[in-house]
Formats: sequence, C-alpha cells, structure tokens
Amino acid sequence: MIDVPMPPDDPANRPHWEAARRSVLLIQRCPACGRCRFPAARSCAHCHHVGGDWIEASGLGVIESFCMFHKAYWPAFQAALPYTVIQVKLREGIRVMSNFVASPGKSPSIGLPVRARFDPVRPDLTLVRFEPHV
Amino acid sequence: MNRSEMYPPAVAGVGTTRYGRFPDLDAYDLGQWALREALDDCGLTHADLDGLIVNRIPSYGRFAELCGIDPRYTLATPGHGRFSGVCIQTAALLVSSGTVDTVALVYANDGASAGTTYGGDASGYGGAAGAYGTTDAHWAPYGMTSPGAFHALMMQRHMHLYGTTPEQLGEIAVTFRRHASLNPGAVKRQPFSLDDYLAARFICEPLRLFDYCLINDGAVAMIITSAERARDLRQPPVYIRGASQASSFTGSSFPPEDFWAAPMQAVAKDVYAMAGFGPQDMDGLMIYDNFTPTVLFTLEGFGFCPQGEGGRWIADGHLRLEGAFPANTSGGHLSESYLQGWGLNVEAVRQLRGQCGERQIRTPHAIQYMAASPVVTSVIYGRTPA
Ligand SMILES: [Zn+2]
Repeated sequence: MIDVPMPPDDPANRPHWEAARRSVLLIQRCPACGRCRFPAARSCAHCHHVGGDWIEASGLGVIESFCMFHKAYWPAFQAALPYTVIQVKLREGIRVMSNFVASPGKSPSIGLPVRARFDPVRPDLTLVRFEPHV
Repeated sequence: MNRSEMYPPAVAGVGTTRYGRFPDLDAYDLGQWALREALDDCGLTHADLDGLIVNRIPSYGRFAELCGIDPRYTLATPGHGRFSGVCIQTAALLVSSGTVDTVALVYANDGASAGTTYGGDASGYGGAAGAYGTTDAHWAPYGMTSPGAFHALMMQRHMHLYGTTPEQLGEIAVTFRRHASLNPGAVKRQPFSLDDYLAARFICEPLRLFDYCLINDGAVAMIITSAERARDLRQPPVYIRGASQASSFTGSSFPPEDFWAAPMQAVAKDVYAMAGFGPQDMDGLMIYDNFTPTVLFTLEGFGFCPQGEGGRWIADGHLRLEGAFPANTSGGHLSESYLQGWGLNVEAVRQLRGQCGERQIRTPHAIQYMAASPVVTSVIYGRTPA
C-alpha cells in the first residue's frame, strides 16, 4: 500500500468517493437530458440544465488507451514504477482514468472489456480500478 | 490578412535571450531582455509601443512598470503554449483594425530555474495544469498526471489504429536535433541517431526521453505593427498573411478521439484562404512540438498527409532541411529551446529575412506556424504583402 496523493476534497465529488468505500460506483446524470458526466459539475454541458443526480454505474467499459509511467511525479509512486494508467470508456458514455489490475503477464490492450473493482489504498480512500471482464 | 482589414499587419522586430539556465534572472528580467533585443532589431523604442501582450509573465502591471510604458491596450495570457498563436492573432487584429499602432508581445519562461516539472502537484504547472486534462487533479490517486502522459495515451491509440511506429516518431526527434546542430543558439546541439532515440529511457511509454521537449529558461519578444510602418524600419517587414484559431474544449478532460483534426481542419481552411496560399505553397513549417506525437497529429490535421499516414509521411524525410517541407529548422522545443511556440514564430520571421545561416531554407516565400492542442492556431508569414 502506497501513500498515493489524495484527490481534491471537493464537496461536489464526495458522494463518489464515499460510495467507492462501499464498493459502489456513482457517477452523475443530468435529470433533463439523461446524459452522464463525471467528475461532478453543477450543470449539464449539453442541455445546460442546472443540477444532477447520482446514479450507480454498471462498472463495465472498454479500455480506450493506456500508457506506462516510468517516471514518478510524486515520490509515493517511485516504488510502483513502472505503473500503468488506462483510459476507460464506461457503458454510460463517460470516460475515467484509472489503473489496470490483472494476473501477472496480462497486459492492457485497446478495446479490452473491463469491469470496475474497488481497492482501498488508504483508510480514507478507495480507488475504482479495472480488471479484465470476460 | 482578411478583406476588411484597414492596416495589414507585419512583424517589424524580433528579439530573443540566450536559452538555458539563468538562476539570477526572473521572468521580468528575461522578458525585458528579449524586448530590448526586439526593439533594437527594428529600431523602435519603448515609447513607440502603444500595445502590450504578455505571456507567462506573472504580472502584466509589474512588467509594464519596469519597462516604463503606458500602453493603450494591455493583455495578459496564461502560460500555456497554445497562447503564443492566440497572442499573435490578437496583435494582428489590434493592428489591422487600427486599435493600436505597435504592439510588443513578450514571453518569458524561468521554468528551469524555478524547478518546474510539468507533472505531479496540480498547482503551478504540475499535473496537466488544466491545459491537457482539465480535471487532472481528480485522477492523481491513480497516478495520472502530466501533459506527456496525455500525449502518450493519444499516441498509443494512433499506433493501434494506424500502425504508426516508434521509428517514425523517432525521425521527428532525430531531424529536429540535426537542425539544432546547425543553430548556434540551441540548447541541445549534439546530433543523435535513430538507434540512440530508441535506446533512450521511457518517460511515459510509448514516449521516450527524446519525444519530450526541453525544460529551460528563456524569453522572446515580437514587435507587430502595420505593414506601412514596418517598411520604414530597420528590417524588411515579414507580413502576417493569415492567422486563425479554433478550439475543441468539449470533453477535453480526456484525449480527443480525432487527434484534434476537426479544429485543425477549420483553422486550415480559414488561414489558407486568408493567405491566398495552400499547404503545397509552404516553404517551411514551424510545428508546435511539445512532444513528437503533436507534430504527427498536426501534419495530418492540416492536410499535409491523410489521417493515419503521418508516420509513413514523416519517415520519408519531408521535414528535413533538404526535404519538401523543412520543419522546425531551429530545432524546435525538442532541441532548440522550450519557448511555447514563440521561438518557432521568431524562426519563421528570421527564415523569411534570410538570417538563419547554416540552417537557412533557400529563398522562402511563405512559412506556416501551427499548434495543435484543445486550442488550435496557425499563422502564415509571407515575404510579400500579397
Ligand atoms: Zn442535460
């Protein structure tokens, strides 16, 4: 377990992080046009409706791209090098940046179906990571 | 620049500092140094300036106070490289409309001495600094940070979709370093081979060390005035034949699916129509090269080659000094100096004046600056007014 940097303590996103600790993936949805968005925002960029609902996402998506860090921009990641960041598009149409968790020898690839998993990394932080979904 | 303009704009003066590491000089010192050089270049004085546009200088007010000037138009812009093109477009519009006579554009970067890392803590220039990935701090616990990683994600997709290879990217880095070796002012002048490129360490895979721009201190100034006035000054005017901008902010927290092709196509259509030139008429290209993939995306987006063909097109050697479209003849951000577009615009001016020594393009008539990012800009410079 490494001392990863905390996300900004933004009240707008607290429901997401609190739900992650319960192994639930919450994202925001516009009650007017139904489009999802994340991170949270006060209004919808598509229809400009003010306000949003939190909904539970499927946790299913595909890897759109990935990269592997060989440099640690935070000291906490030095021990984790090299580590992979993946860009995932969820079924609900939104994108997230995350990490890929799989058995040794299994690499991420573009188009690979993945599903969310919930990894407590600090007492106060659970990350939404992804593993292959067959 | 367009049919309605009253006073066609031209670049009258350019000035640059030396590039490297100047711990004793702050952004104000560096900016004033570049401005003195630019004024001396064209034979004007501070008192001739009635417009001031600063980029990456912390306080426009302090800068103007130190210069002892009271412009009729002042503008400060954030230290994102895309703003060099925006500033030049704005100066051209201010002059062409008759709002001001003579604008000084001043950029200063003390990033090396300030210890800027372009990754990590999202304050300052860390993270993607809100430039690439506007919600970057949210993804910090996953280790996602830096403009370099943003471009690595884009490049991985390009390789997947079109079969683009590391060797093709390497050609960009090798070519620009070769150009820098002919530029006495460049920070990095030692040529390297494709094998050296491939053997260098990864920073964020698939990108290696030489896919990344330098981090250094330096400053640039440009003096833009009316073509009519510029003709009376010390240097031959370099005419701003076109300048255009488009953006793609929607969804820009994540890499664009089209590698910014849509805004680039919009800008290309606009800027070539203004200039009365097409891409085939360009004698040289100045391509924003924060990372090698940006060069590839730009060539595709502006129509120098079809979408997906950039890697193969570049590997044919078109960007070399002796190629069809000599690019970043100064060495660019990858090898000359990280000046966030400004150095490339100055290089375009110096090339058109014939001041580039060993790296001089033979009798250029038109040179195009292009920058790909969530804000796309392009400026076409010409040796003649029309
Ligand atoms: Zn909506």
